Amino acid sequence: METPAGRDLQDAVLEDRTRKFQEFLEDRTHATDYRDLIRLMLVRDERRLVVDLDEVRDFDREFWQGLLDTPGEFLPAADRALQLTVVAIAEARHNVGESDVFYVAYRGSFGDHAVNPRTISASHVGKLLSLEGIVTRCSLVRPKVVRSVHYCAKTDRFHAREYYDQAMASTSTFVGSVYPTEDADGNPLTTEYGYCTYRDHQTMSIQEMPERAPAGQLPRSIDVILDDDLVDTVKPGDRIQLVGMYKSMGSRSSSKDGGGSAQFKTVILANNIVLLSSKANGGVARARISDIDVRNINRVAKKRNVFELLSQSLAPSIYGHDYIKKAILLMLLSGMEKNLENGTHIRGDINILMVGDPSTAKSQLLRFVLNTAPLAIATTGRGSSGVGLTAAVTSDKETGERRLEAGAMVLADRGVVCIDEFDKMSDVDRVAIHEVMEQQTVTIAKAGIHTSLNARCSVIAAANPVFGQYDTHKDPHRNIALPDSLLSRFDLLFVVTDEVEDARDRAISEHVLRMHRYVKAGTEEGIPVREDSGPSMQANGGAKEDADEHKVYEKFDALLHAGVTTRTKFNGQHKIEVLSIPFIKKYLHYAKMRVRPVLSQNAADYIVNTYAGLRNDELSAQQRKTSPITARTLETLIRLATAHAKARLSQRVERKDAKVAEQILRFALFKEVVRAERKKRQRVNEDSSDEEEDEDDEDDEDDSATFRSSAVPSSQSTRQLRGSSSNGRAYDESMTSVVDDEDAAPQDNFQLLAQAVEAMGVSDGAAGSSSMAGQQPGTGVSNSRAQLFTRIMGQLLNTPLFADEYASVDVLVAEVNKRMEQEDLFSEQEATAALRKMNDRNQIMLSGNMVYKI
Amino acid sequence: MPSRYYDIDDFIADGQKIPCIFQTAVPEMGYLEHGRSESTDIRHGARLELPLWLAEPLAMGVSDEFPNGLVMVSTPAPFTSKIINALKANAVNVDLRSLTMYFFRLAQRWLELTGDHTLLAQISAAFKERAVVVNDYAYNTRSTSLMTDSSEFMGKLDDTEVKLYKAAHVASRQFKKWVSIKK
Repeated sequence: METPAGRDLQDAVLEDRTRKFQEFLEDRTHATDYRDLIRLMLVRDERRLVVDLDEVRDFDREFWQGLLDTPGEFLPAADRALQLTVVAIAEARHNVGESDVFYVAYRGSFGDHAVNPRTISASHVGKLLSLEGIVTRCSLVRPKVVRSVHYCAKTDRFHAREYYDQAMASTSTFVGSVYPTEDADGNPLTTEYGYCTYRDHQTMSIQEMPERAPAGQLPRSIDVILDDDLVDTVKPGDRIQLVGMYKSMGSRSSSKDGGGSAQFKTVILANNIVLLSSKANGGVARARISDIDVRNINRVAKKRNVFELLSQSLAPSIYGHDYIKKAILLMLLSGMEKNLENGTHIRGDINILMVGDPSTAKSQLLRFVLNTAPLAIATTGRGSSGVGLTAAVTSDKETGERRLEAGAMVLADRGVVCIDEFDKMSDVDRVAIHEVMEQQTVTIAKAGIHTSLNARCSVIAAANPVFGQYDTHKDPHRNIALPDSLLSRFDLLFVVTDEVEDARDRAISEHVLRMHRYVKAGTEEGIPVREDSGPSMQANGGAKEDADEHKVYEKFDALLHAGVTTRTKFNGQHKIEVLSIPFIKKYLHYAKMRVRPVLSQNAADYIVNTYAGLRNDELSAQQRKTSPITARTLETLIRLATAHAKARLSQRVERKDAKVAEQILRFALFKEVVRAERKKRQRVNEDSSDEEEDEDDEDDEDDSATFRSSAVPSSQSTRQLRGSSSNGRAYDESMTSVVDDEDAAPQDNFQLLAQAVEAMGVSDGAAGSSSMAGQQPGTGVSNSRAQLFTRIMGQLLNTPLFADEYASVDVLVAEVNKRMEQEDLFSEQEATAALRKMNDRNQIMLSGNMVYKI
Repeated sequence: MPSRYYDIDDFIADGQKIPCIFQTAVPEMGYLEHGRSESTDIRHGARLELPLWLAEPLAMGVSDEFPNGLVMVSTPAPFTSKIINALKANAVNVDLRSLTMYFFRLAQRWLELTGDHTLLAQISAAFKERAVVVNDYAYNTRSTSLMTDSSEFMGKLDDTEVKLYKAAHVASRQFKKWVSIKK
């Protein structure tokens, strides 16, 4: 069968234009050598060649004008020219089939043909346009028949027929979708479905960028048709620049109301798509890291204060909140995900919750994360439902069958979900995200669909306290009013209070005023900022040559960076350094992709110690925990330490990483800062304090002077022993709780703990043997046992036992032993020896048979 | 556009910054350099934006030691191929004001400095193309069909064109007045 449309177009004018464009492709006078590009395209097995319109214009202005104004006549000529050139260039290795179709895509300056979904008007129909927008909806990819093959049994001949529908730019004449059932002589035909040629086909809608929409108006959207190799290049949420032909598709409802309406459906037939934002594409951020960047990254990573430098450079416009910024940095880096062989998945993402007074820049921090993370999705508590966050079952508009539509957390897989106004979310909706936050999957079983979707995302949420203002006289959990089950899923919970303090208020107001005085370089002073920046001047195909691309540091601006306190000593003078955001993005990307730290034994010991300490510490009167300490806390420590190691680009998680993790966790838990000056006071009831001291001098020079005088001589070996013994203890404890209580939660705890121990490479054997080492029979007392005794004593000091400021030794030992396991009981000699040691250290006063509180 | 000694606009046009590449190290001026903290000096080959009045003498050969000048000026942002291409595609549509307030004054100074004839041709073509439309708007301020987006177009004019618009508008008013007197 003939292909009438194809034949008709091959007239002299088309031939002429084809030759013209062929000349253009082979011309070597312009900057780009298209023959090379075609070769590259063939090697990559692509079928779309991007041509710069500016070069077409310089080559032949008429052709350029034609392309823009009557693309229906020029695009097929250009495509054909490319086809011919490809055939001339292609070599055997290039694997070019006879029926392969090649397309020419365009980029460059569109002048007044650069529009957006709002400014597009009737005058643009049939023209080549460039427009910018956000992809809001993509349909399923469906094949469309382009060439059908039919067999006639009677004549034993094959017939072929090509289909041109309105969705093809090539021609104005089109053939209906009816395929022939009999040939010219009336013989029946059988369709050979296997021999037919199909092409992918997809429709999507793009919406005007919300920030470009005029004040008080909703963004508008427009439908786009994607064909063949453009299919599935974008996904909802991407910001794109689209080049395509605006085309009328004929009356939409002609059959229904008798063709009464003259309203035609218009679509854009996409020709070239450029992804605009650096947002992630398919889980992988598009940040291109050059070798210069890698060198810069390594140079910055070698700095001692790289972690402080990075965290300070986050959101320099927000004053203070140092710990939260650190936590956000760690969240952006995230820990290591573990998929064990038994199918267990251990989360590596860090979840953060900020609870605090109004106007403490919580939402600003969320906004910052949104702009910095490669993939981030923002929602608010009121604006999102449980279904919207996880996944919804909808029925497809075209086919009517039920299908899943991914919610925010599924879309943010491998990214960050920012939830503002978390407390305003209804309980039902909040429960929906429980599963996502720990198991990192969304399981759906409704409407005949049963499936599990991945949602490996970090959650950063901001909430207000119950009474609007944080009531410092009430316990944190009364203020926060979120269930423990949810709170424990957050690794870090920050309570941000708005304290009235003269110096701080002045500092903040100065900072804020400076921000307001800032005028962006290059803008006119005193001129209102123009909202509409308009479509960008070029539909660019990529390669942006920017001198600032490799810029590591921001130029210090006294107005913007006054809140930054990290200083680097250089030539005797302190300098303030701020890293540029593009560099931080690259740094984070590099650290996340390249560095896979493993826990070292030292760090593991430290983490176990810290965890055991946190769980067993008795709190002083003012201190309150903000969130429950569960086995998840242990994982939190591991995650934070791993993320910190990533920040240093270290392949091993060292003790110092664990220490920073503890510091941040303690800040989040108790709102306290571990500092050298405070340690003396805390030593009585805090066993981890002296431990910190003797390690701090390993890597901390600034404060070394204050430490050395107060450092308690303690050898490495005892610390090891004590570390592992308390590890064993924690282990035992959860064991017994399983026996005592058949509840599901402790079981869960035990399992998690066991996994964590396994993950850290601490074998069960080691833990078991060290708990044996704790029981040394004899007159003296081992160091570790003495420490244990001291710790329990510390807890007892605040109980009614010491109501009269003293207690007898017998009663005390009995009380201490009540808190011990059967096989770990303190003998009288041990207790006396331990008490004597405490007496020597001036922690208690031992006089005869009485113990006095100091 | 004659440059007058006391012309304030001329001062501001002169103060616009153009990117320069240093051909020599300058000691103790490193704080000027963008985002580097390693050195107190401006390095050889450093890129820095300097105002035109400073860049011009620095770029001239001052001594035998530096026959090509202390700095090498590179094309300012408003004259990069991207902008010029946009001007070539449709000059009326380009928002010159957002690029720089003094596009044509800067162009004049820049062309004096470089003597780039192709750029001169392109910019003057763009100026002519825009001037027609500016004139059109100036004569038809009350025309309803144009009023709808006249403010949008006015926002894209550079300083020279704004002056041109004013002059054209005054001329048109005077002409109308003259015509009415004649009656």
